[in-house]
Amino acid sequence: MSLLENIKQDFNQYKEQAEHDAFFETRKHAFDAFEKLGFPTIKNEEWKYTNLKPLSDILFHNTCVKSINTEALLSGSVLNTITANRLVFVNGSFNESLSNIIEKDKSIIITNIASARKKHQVIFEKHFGKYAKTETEGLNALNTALMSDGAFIHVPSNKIVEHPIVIMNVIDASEMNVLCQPRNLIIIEKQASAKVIESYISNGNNASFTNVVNEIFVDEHAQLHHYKLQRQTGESYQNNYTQLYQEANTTINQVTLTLDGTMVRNNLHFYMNGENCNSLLYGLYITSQKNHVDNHTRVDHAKPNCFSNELYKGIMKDKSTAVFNGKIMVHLDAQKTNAYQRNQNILLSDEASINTKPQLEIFADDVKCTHGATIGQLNDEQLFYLRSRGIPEHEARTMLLNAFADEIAEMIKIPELVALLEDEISNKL
Amino acid sequence: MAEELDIIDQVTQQEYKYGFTTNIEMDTAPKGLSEDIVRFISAKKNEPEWMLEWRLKAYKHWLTMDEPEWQNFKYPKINYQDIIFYAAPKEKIKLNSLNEVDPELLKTFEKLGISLTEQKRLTGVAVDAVFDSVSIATTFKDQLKEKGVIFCSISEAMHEHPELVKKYMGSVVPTTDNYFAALNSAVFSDGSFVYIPKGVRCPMELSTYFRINAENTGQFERTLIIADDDSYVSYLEGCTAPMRDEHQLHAAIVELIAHDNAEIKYSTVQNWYPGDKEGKGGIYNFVTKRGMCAGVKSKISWTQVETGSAITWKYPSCILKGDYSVGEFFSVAVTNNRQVADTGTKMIHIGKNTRSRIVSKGISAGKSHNTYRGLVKVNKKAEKARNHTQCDSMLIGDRSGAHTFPYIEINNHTAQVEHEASTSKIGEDQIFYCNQRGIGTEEAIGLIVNGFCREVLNQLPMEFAVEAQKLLAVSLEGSVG
Amino acid sequence: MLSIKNLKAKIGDKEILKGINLEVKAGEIHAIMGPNGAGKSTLSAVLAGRPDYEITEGTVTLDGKNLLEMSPEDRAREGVFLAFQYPVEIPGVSTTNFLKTAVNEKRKYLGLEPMEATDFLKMMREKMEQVEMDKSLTSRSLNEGFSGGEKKRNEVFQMAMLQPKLSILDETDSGLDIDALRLVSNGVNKLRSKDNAFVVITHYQRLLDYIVPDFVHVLYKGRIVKSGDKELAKELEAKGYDWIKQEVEAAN
Repeated sequence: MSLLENIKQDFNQYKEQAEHDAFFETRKHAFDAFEKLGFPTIKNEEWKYTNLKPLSDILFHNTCVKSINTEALLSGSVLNTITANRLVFVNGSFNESLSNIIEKDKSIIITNIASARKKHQVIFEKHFGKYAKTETEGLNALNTALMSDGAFIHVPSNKIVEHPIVIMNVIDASEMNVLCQPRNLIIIEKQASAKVIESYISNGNNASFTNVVNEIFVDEHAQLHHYKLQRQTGESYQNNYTQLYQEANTTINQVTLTLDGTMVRNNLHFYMNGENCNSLLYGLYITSQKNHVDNHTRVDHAKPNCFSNELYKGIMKDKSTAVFNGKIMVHLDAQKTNAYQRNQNILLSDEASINTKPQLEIFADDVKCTHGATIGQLNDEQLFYLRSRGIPEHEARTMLLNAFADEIAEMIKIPELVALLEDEISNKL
Repeated sequence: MAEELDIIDQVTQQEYKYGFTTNIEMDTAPKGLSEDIVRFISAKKNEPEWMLEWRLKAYKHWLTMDEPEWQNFKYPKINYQDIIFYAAPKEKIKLNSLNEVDPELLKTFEKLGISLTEQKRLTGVAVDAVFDSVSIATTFKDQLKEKGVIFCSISEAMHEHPELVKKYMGSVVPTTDNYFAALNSAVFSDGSFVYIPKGVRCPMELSTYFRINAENTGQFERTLIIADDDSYVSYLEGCTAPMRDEHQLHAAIVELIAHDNAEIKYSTVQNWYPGDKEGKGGIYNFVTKRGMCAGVKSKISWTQVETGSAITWKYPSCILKGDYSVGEFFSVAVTNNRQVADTGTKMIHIGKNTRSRIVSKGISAGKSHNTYRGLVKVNKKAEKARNHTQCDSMLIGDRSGAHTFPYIEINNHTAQVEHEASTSKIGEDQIFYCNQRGIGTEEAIGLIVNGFCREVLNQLPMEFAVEAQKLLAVSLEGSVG
Repeated sequence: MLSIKNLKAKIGDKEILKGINLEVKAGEIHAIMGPNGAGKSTLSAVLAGRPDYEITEGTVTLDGKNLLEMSPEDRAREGVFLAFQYPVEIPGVSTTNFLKTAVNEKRKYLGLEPMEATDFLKMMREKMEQVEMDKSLTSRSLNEGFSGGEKKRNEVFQMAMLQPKLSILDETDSGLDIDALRLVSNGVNKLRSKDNAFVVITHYQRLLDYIVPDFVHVLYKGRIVKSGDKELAKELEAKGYDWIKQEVEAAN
């Protein structure tokens, strides 16, 4: 049975059991859209360099597999060492006993989607499905139709969440191939602030396909730090679509670290719907073996006087490939836009490759936009300098690579986490 | 420098000045496209059988293809049955000298500032003039012959140098390459052919001047330039067309081949009729241009100044096959009113130690859209490839668009590739500063734009640089209210 | 030569010049001093015709001609020269090329033939020597990558080339070290004649040690509140602007 048939069967099953309410209608609508759009193919310009074909022949199970060693897995994670609110999802379903909310202010909601849909229906319905497009994005439609569960975070006006919120996704493919579709909804109201870490780890030798959708809404004068850590090992495929919707005077600091995974596609889409927004996008991808990482970012400057700064760095080893596609879209009348974008890559092996596409689309005249991409090796002069001070070549190389990568890790504004991540990066290199 | 100012002084007209038509008796094919039309064109040109076969093969392949849709603009579907694929001035006898050319035609080229007659020989540029579907005259043939340089129309080359045409035509742009290349291969009417023998530095600039005149016709010419080992040639092309209300299709092919240590410099000043302020009429300029750096240390350099056409859609490219070969692309594209340009280049690094450089300057005014699209590809075995791309856009007015789509595909870890791009507007401060020194706003814009494009304009041979600067100023007139 | 009567100007809703009166005769140098925000730079911008400002009242004439009705380029061609505080950079346009355009535009306006290239180059050489301008600067792009001092010297060089009647120096001393200040001032002094006039706008007295004014005016809150000779500048240097401010507030 193909993946597509598999999915159809799953939806039919769901349809029979589901209550026919508004939520069902949204999902039904999304499924219709998915049936029309299907999986993207390389003929689609946005998927030119990332081929999903290998997925179509794998038989995935969209069931919640009980994991035996979740606890062990979690304890090994660097995220376990920091003081944080934790929501744990195992193969897409919420694990309440492993989750732990330490936030004292009870007006701040940190829970799972399934329960929020009932307990916080008004807020949920106001925001759910409002930002992530289903009409044009097949995989978004698929997630909307068949999503499992995920985090629901609501920070009311003027509230500051004291400790980071960790959304820990554990994918356990030790028993069988797993398909799971997490869905997170994050709402930061006016003048509020939060730090959210979205993390993926995995276990087992079977294949997994994680198809994530994040919808994030940040209201006026609010601030959000959003960090994504991708560390799934084994035969893991992930498509992650994150839609961030910003109102006026907001700042979003987003860092995406992709340290592992057979095939990872990150789609990050910022939409600035008010003046004086700041969008900061930082990414690091370290690829090895035959892995493939594709970072697709898009920043929509829809209103005047906004600022965006993007820096993505990649280190490619072995036979791996990486893709960077960054688009800055300056809309008509979005005057006084300042948008900067850079993509820097280092290829470490004869058989690694990189495809990069930094794009600008500008419809307003009073703007300052620059973008650039570089592909190169370590700086020979720096290398020589270090060696002339007695540092062995191998060590000098590692030192320079670490320095290259750490610039991104340091954009994570949780100092105790940065140090741990830097160790992990160092091990990767 | 001094010229630059004179030029701006000379620029007084607001309208497209090449918009006149020539009344001359024409020999045309019936409207539409079919196998019969392909045979008709081939017969008209008295072509050898192998050429007809080549055309028919291309035609059959074209029938199986779809028009591309990935471009960053829309245009109404072209009805290929509504186009005349062949139009030529009636020709009673075979021309032996320029004296036998229809005086009406000579006058047309005089008006365009292209002299085919003897007295202008001092300029030192050999010209091949193509009027609608055929080559009218090629100057300086004899002098070139002494050096062994072949410069003639492609129809002539088919008869006189079939071995060269057979070997090279379609070797860089295969008939199946893309929709418009296949179409051209089936119906091309004429064009220029250049062969520079081993060790020869072509003693003068070679130039082709293209003119569309007839109504409802498409122009499908092809240019083939071969530079043999250790040779050098600089080639220029210019183009104009009358003002007509309907769009006209120009789908040309240019193929360049540079052997060991050879260098080809190809410059274009494209000024096809751009259509009126509302976007009525104008040429669809859909062209495939590609150069093959076949030999070791060969070099191909494209320079283009694109100011005309309703839509300009082309990517002059270099295949860097020879080790140590070099590809360059220098481009200025100006769009105003409703014009569209989707242009750029492809640099394909195959050989070792290959280098490429891209400098693109896009200027958009009015309601126009200007897109840079470029590919830098480094193949697996292309050790130590280097590329530097600089891609700048300037916007004039707040209803135009500038778009940049660079594709960078790197499969070798020794590559060093850098892409830089920026977008800016003409600053009010800059204009006021010029005003304060007594320079009016239109002149100030001309000055600033020419400054912005300096790096590219410097690549053009003197003759063309002058024309190009004039054009930049003219195309932007009326862009600031 | 220059006659300003009751000049009022605003930017947006904010009135900056609130009734300026000033008479400048040929051969004179007038210094306009004042604290930050007094309207000094606005006055220079308004005289040159910067479009951001709206004139609400008053007249400005140059040798009897109404300046306010003229476009910025016509004012320049009539002989108004503004040495900018922050000269803009124009990439790719050489100073030579720029000046040739400017000189010939002015000649065209005055009904003269354009200058021959050789004459123009000769004039460039002479003027460069006169104002001690470094030759290499003229072949570089206009002001691009110039140091602060180089930019200001280029302004004085352009002044020499265009031979204006009235030159307005807008804080020409800002950002200059003492050597550069001396060079720029020497240039200006060499250009002085009985036929032209200068309005020197500055915050500090030190420039006036080099370019010695005939008159000194103090601009405060959009009005000239005090006029005198060069001794006034020295007094200001010694006592600071607070003294003037207090005097004005007291009078109110």
